[in-house]
Amino acid sequence: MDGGEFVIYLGTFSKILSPGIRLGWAAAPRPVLQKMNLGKQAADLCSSSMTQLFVAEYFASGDWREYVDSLVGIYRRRRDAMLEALERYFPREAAWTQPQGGLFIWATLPDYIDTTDLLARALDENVAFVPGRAAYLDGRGGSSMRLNFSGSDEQAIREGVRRIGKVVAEQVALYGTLTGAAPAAPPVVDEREAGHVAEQLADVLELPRRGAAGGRRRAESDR
Amino acid sequence: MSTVAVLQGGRSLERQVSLKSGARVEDALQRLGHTAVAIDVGADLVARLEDASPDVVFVALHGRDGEDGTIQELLEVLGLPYTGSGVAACIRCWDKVLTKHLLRAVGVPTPDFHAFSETAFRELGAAQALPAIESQLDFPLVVKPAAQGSALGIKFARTAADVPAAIVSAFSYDRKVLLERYVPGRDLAVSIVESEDGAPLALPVVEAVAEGRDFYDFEARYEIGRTRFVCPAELPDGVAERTQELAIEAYRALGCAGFARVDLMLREDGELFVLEANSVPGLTETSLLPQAADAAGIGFDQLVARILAMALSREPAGR
Repeated sequence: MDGGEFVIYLGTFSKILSPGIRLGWAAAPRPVLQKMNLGKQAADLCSSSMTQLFVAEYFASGDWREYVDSLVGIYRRRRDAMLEALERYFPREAAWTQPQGGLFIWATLPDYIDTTDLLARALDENVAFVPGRAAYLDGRGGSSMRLNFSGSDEQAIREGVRRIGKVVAEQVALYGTLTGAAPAAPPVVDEREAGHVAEQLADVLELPRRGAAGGRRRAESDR
Repeated sequence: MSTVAVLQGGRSLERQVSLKSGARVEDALQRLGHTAVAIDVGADLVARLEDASPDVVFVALHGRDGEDGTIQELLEVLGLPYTGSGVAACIRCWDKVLTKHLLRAVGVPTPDFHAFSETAFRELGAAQALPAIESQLDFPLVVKPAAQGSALGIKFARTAADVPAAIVSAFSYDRKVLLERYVPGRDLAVSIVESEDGAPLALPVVEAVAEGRDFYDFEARYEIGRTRFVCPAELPDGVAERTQELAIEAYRALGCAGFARVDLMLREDGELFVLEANSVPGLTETSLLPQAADAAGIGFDQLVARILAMALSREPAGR
């Protein structure tokens, strides 16, 4: 691989082998690599040489492509489950990506919804996401969220998206009430839907509780 | 020397700050010769308290549960003495609407406000009253959840168009929101610690100064690195004293005990307004209460010792 003087190429084993491995590779012009080395050493001295040997051995001898193929199958099913759930439970004002790779869907809500604040409400429902503002340095992304479909199975994904969809729908309805855009009607639940909800309640999922650091805006210094 | 359970962590949005406050309190307790038992508050809280059978409980739990009176209620039931304010005072401080009504009743100035529950908007058409509220309170106006520690969910509406989204955000944190007149001026905080005779002592005033931001960038004040704290605040003659007196009036009106922090605004014309009181203020290295105590010559260990002594000197029941 030679991109000449103008290419810095980064890769990771986190997505194709295991996230806990924390190992990757870089191809870059020598002066850039030297600086990267310096930064890497300042950060953690070096990655575990034992881990590096294991990974090198695995990729030299094992049929890693087959393993990656099996992962692709798992993640594809999870992505599809999440896309279906979004279609079903998110309001029509929302938009989201249709990823052809990776482990995330980026969803964007109407601009009057602040996902940093929405997270507080979602946590009450025992479900979490990464507020979009975390992806920008300049304050954009306030109405977006990053949804991960790699870590949970299809059932948990559907339930999680249903719960987020519920709090989003509440906020959309409240905004409508406040702006006079929609009548303040009580939510209509048809019998089929009610039956579906009851079914899901009977099959309550324990979603793991997540730390809420993302929702905390004020520094400890001003407590 | 006593066995002291230090309650911290918990499920609130302020978990991380609480863990830092707790760890610091534990260190101080150990230096003071006490036995500190750290308890990260969860479903096994009662069992762990019974297991530790402490002489006294140090509440270093911020946010929901720790500041809203829940933990205090539980400690009353268990008959364990604890630091800081009792159940009723915690409830009064946690609910900013209640705080403001009580302050108003005793003549402590607080910015004009209106508060509504979610049902008022959803079922009683309160949205139609928004223009009237806006003309009474003027722009810019502050929208915030009635309950929530720190500044979570606080929005600054510059025009009528900003108000609905700000209300939606505030409702993410609580079922009741507060629309408050914005008071332009200086952001002050007064920490209060009771002295040995039980009289509340106001520590030096701290000022929060927003760094390099324009006047209306309200949110910036609450972001890391954008605020600088000055203690003691540089105030005109007599203003610090007035600020401290007003803070103590608020502390008494709310029935706080042990220690607390009162946040105020000093308007450009010199008028003071109380915004809120915090019944379990932060105790981290950079928190305002320890900073203010330090400025008054009270070291952190001494501060912890005093807070603990106040807890032990009071009857646990009926507070």
